[in-house]
Amino acid sequence: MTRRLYIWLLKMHPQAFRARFGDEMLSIFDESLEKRVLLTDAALSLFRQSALRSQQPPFSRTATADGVPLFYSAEPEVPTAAALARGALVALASFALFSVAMSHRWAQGTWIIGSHHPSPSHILGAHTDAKAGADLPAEVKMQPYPARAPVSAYFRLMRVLSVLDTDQDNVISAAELQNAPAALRTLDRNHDGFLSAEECGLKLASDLSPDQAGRTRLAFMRVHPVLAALDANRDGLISEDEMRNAARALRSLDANRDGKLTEREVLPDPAVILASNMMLLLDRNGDGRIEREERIGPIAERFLAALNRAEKGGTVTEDDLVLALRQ
Amino acid sequence: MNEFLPLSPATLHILLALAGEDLHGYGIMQEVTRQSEGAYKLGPGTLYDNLQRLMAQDLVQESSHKAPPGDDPRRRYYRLTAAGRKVLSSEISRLEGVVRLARLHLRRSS
Repeated sequence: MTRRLYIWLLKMHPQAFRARFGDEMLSIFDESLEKRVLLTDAALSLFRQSALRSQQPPFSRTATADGVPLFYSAEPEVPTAAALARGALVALASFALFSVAMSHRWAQGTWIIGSHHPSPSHILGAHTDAKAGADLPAEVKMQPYPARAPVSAYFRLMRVLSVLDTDQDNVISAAELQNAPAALRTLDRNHDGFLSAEECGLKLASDLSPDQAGRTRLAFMRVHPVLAALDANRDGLISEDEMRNAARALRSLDANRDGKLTEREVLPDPAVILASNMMLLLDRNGDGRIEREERIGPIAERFLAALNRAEKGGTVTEDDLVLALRQ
Repeated sequence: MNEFLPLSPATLHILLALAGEDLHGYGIMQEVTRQSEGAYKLGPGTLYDNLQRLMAQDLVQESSHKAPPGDDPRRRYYRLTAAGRKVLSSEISRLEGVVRLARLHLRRSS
């Protein structure tokens, strides 16, 4: 096995070196007892010969013996696999570097090569017989480069949407819908096969009781249309089965049936959000109903008083509403 | 000859090994180990990389020495050229100068 590996390492050496010394190196390997040391030595030799030594065959000393220059032709030489691999590596690295440069728009500066207007910003001056100062009789009109829309705040905050919208164009395309199961699984950070409200983007306040936290999670999963569509059994968790069925579930939100989901189709109804928050605030026993036992009278009075003030021409700020609703 | 100096440890040991007699690659490796009392071991990769360069510089050449019967026919023998011997002599002289200077400095400091 080690001999085969040694022979393979020798075969990877440049052809000229291998042809000259390969047999001798193998002879030493056969004789030596320190096979592993020689394997390491061969690997180092391979690196040295491939990376550090010139592969150009030496010129024959008889070539210029009669004083007449003799040119060496490399045409019969076939590039080695190692040389081709190195070439491919260099080409890929160059392409990657160029791509990075383009994507960072380093080359966006306006470079004009040749212009009859003398200016230090022009790289090459050009001489023209045209009348000085006259514009060329050509007009080029270009449409403005379409600016990329910023990622919607809702798409950014709602983790489910941010992983679904892979190209960040604020639209869940048909292809992105198709890829929804795989995209959703990336959110399963604890790998338990379920997506919790927190994994979907909920940030829970730390001072909530377990009961309040549970109700908040359920409310979060219910008020956001995307989560409500995914959580088919309304248990507050998106299971593996529900993730597998995600594409079909999400298509139920496609109101105009165009095969994709726009922001308008996935945004939650503000009234639902408000009502849900009010329930979380006022339904103290969490039975889904506001009853006399919840003693909301003072809150309702303060809240209605604030709204009445606005109705009569006064102003109500968010702080006023917070004060009105605080227990 | 000075353009070859100073010699790397591997080159010095190879030239020293070949100064006594023509040797094949494995023989050079063994001779280098013997000369350095086991402190310096050459691998075949390092050996033939140096031999390739030394042959291109005409300091070492392949010998016409034939492997004795029963010896591995893949072995080739190498010998020091006259130029190689001169380079080795120059390096030894240089090292002698270094040793002399080192002794002088050590004597002064003690």
